[in-house]
Amino acid sequence: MSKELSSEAMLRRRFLQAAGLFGSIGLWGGTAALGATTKSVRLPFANGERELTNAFPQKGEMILLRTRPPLLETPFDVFDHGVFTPNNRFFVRWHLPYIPTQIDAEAFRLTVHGHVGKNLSLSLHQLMTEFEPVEIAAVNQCSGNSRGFFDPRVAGGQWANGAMGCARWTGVRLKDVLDRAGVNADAVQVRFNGLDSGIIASTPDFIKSLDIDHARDGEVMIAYGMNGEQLPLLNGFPTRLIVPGWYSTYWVKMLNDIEVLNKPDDNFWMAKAYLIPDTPNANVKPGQTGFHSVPINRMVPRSFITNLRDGDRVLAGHAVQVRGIAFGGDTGVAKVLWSNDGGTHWRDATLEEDHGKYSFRRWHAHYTPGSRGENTLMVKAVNSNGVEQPDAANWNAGGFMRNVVESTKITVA
Amino acid sequence: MKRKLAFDVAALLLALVVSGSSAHEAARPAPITIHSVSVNLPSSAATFPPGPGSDIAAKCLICHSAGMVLRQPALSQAAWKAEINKMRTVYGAPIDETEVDTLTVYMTKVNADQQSH
Repeated sequence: MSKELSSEAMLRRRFLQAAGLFGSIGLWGGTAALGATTKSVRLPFANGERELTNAFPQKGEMILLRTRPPLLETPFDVFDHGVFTPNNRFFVRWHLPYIPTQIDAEAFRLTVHGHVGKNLSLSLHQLMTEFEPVEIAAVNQCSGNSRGFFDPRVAGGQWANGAMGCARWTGVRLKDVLDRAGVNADAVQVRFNGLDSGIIASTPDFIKSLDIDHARDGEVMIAYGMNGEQLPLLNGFPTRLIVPGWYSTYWVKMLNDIEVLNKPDDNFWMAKAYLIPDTPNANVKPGQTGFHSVPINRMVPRSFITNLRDGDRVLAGHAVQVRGIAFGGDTGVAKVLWSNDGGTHWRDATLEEDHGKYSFRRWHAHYTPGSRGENTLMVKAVNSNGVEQPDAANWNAGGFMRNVVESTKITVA
Repeated sequence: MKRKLAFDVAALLLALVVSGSSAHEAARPAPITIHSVSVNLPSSAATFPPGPGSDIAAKCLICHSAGMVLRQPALSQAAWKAEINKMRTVYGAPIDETEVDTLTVYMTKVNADQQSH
């Protein structure tokens, strides 16, 4: 099988273009501070030319969306290599320009305060030894993953599909930490703050909140480990909130402050940003107004083919494996369906090892291409709540929650 | 200042297993070792192209590099004005109200020129 795939790969259209960024360097003064860059990638939408960078600490080759504060996308081929995304390839998304670059692990403290019986100030050592360690495999996906595919296009971070990743997170239950502090009876929400901040005084600090029952559900955790190691600084070292099944905006990085609130959080990042239409699939018509908006919350199912891309060529009559990843969103994957005729017929793909309901799930199927010409492969996930990826893409002005059935256009030669 | 903190949770895990608590649980987290971190983040040399309004656009670089601006899809002049005003009123960008129209026209043109990339 690997032989088939490697010979198939040789026919693959090349996305990497040596020195492909020349034009934009000439126009814009370039990004020379990032080093002698010769590689770029073209994401499949207008203005999709991106530099591939190795300039960021503890990170390997990443797609550069913004240098400061960093927005780094995972090159999509990484998802073909396994169910867990390596730490040095995991996507990066920061909102505010001040990010500490030196963190003393002994001096770091996580504080818990607000409407609690007693305030806490926990060292990493205390966090790691005084609470029961737990581990969960969970997908971390940006609310705006795939925003670049919105039609019509919308402003914001122009990600392709690589603003997501799956890791094994090691840490402690938020519930256990809150219980140590003793949550008051009037608690309504819990607010999370990290070490990052703006550099203009009036920039609203990036803080996010969860309802108290969610915060105490025993699944939300404070992680100090990612795939068996400490977190890369750009992924939130030393501690990050893990909110399984929910979009990444709640997974506060460099978490150092937890405040229990007795009223709903009305800060900018909850009340004004990251809002979605309260409609099925967060879907509205461009220009539509008058709908109710709510903070983005649970993820929805998605699935991808990872070993074939648009423009790839396969040989008629020669079986190839089609494989990829799927996730159920806020619950597990029940099944993955795939089509080799543009969605006319669907069949079950084979699901591989189950690492837990919040994890990526690998799947595969065998495909023997028939008649020569263009063909469209499709894949869709159905989660264990029966929620299925939609056939038509959603749209909203924020570019949030894309999860349309994915298509890969190949040529049978 | 100590630069290193190295310990793990193996001892605690051992205690849990010995006491029988959670011993049947499938997943025992592997120990994590924590070290202090000191890194440097790269700077960006990307600048906005010259033209009327580029001096105002330079103020954007106080908080963020030019890259994400230059990588936007084609946006209307009204959309750029809304973005600029969001930066002023929400994030505190020091852009005067009298500068908004000039910057809007500038961004709309730069953005349009960028779409062939």
